[in-house]
Order: sequence, then structure tokens, then C-alpha cells
Amino acid sequence: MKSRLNEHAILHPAIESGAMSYTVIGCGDYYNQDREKVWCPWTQTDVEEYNIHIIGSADAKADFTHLDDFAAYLVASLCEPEKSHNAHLNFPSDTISHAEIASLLGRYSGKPVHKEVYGLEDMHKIIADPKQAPKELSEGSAFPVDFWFLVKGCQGQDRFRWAPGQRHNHLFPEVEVTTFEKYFQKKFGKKE
Amino acid sequence: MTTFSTVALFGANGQIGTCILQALLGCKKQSFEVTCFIPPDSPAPPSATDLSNVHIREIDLTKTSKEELGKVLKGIDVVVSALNGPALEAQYKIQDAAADVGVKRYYPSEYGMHHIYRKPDDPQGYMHPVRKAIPPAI
Repeated sequence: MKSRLNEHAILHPAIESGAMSYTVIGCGDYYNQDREKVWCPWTQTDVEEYNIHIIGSADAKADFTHLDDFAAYLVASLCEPEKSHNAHLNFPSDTISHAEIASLLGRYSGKPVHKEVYGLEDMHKIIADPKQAPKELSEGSAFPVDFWFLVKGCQGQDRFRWAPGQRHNHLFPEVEVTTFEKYFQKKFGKKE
Repeated sequence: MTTFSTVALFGANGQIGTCILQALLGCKKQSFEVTCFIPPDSPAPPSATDLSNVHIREIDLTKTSKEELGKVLKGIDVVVSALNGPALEAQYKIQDAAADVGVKRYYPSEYGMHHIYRKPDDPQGYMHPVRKAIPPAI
């Protein structure tokens, strides 16, 4: 739906005439959604151990964005309208694999971290029939479980990354990114 | 040099909208006058309480006409949509209304990455979100 709406937005007659300009901001996977126990298990603190669900390769890197970083980036683009005039900008906070996230989470939380890896065939199966999804994944999220499998599957296929030239962090260098390591340092305390 | 100072934020009390509002109010480079659009009878964003530069407007986007939206968007420089779900469809009339009253910049609710789903042994790609009827990608 967003793809269709974006297309309509940027081709609007007011944009074409120059009366209005647009800015489209793309991000990575929002990783600090406290409400999302399945998408963002690392946000939880009231647990004895962590289970990170992965589809495909745990070593594939993906783009992630911290919600506050994104918001700061959007505001920075408002403060300098010329840089964001009729622009499609992408802003990741970190590019990292689930294996690296698991390692950092274990190091900073001091708790066991388990990686539960599903095959890509599971992604195809669940997308075809979301009812077959494990209960622990289909409950407790604001998003449909097939969407979760799709996003995580793209991440595990090494396809959830902006390519060089498609990232625009450099346009607003004053916006500091919160990498996973910084996030964990703040959440759990700094470990040397 | 263009300067934007008045912002209409749709979906201001959602997960993304709340973060955007906080960033607008915390901006050190300049100050913004922000009009927050939220659904009727829903909680105001926490950071909006008692601030003279934040205005809350409860509005049912499914029932509000383009003309009515235009009236409340007069004097706004920028429309930022942080809508999600079924409310996204209202973006059509929001942008039309904004254009009618001279809003200068429009931010559609994107804030993500589009994923092409490829089935095994199927040359076509499919756009998310995956639902019963999956529209083919290009």
C-alpha cells in the first residue's frame, strides 16, 4: 500500500508544478520497538534469557534504524529544506547481522542468548499459509506474522540493506546514529 | 532561503508520530509550531501536554472532507504523515487539501524499506504486505 501511496504522492500535480515538494524517508528495520517482543526481543529486560528468531543466514547483515535517530533525521531534513527538496532519502542507524546482535546482547545483558534459525522454506510455507506459523511468533505483535517472515527472510537472504549510494546519512551529519552496541550500552550499562 | 516553521503531523500519537513530535520539540536549530492530528477520543501524545507551540486536533480522517482538511491546514508549511494501517488511505485527500491551501512540503508515511518477495520457481516478485491477494511487482 505504501508503495502505491508514495507513487501517487510524488507524482501529484502540485509536485509536478513546483507548488509543493516532497521528501520520502526510508529506514531499516526499527529495532527499539519495546512493544514488539518477537521483532525486538532485545528490548525486553524482564526475561531470564533471550531467543532471537532468525530466518536464513544469521551472518547476513541487514539495515536497522533506531526510532529516535529516524525522528532526528526527519527534523534535520526540515531544518535544511534545500537538501531534502524532492528527495528520497534512506537512513539506517546500523548495518549488522543477527549473529553480531546476539553476541553483543549476550555480552551487555549478561544473559544467555539463543538463536532460533528457521530455513527459507519456512518463510515460503508461512507466507503461503500464515495459520501454520508457530504460536509464539503469531501472537504478541502488532504486525501480521507473514509480514514478519517476509522481512526477516529478506534479512536472512542478505537483501535487507541499502546499497552504497542509497544511504543518505551524510546529508545531515549532525544526526548521530545509535548502533546496537550504543543501544545496549545505554540499556544494560557499558562493558569494557 | 526556505524556512519551514509550521508543521502538521498526522498520526501524532502513534509509535512513529510520537518520536517525530519529540524530535520537533527538542530541535536545537529552530522552533516549530506543530499541529498534531490524532483520532477522536485517543490519547494526546505525552510530549504535547501544555505546550503553547503544540495544537491538538482530534479528527476522524474517514469522515472529514478535503475541504474541511484544507481549512485546518491553512498556514501550514509542511505536512508530515505518520499514519499507518487503514488510515493511510486518507493520505490522498490530505495531500490534495494541502496542495489547495499552499502547503510547501509533503512527507508521505514511508519510513521503511520495500521488500520484494520471491517465491521458489516463480520469476515474478511480489510487494509487501503479503495478503491473500498479492499484487505482482514490476
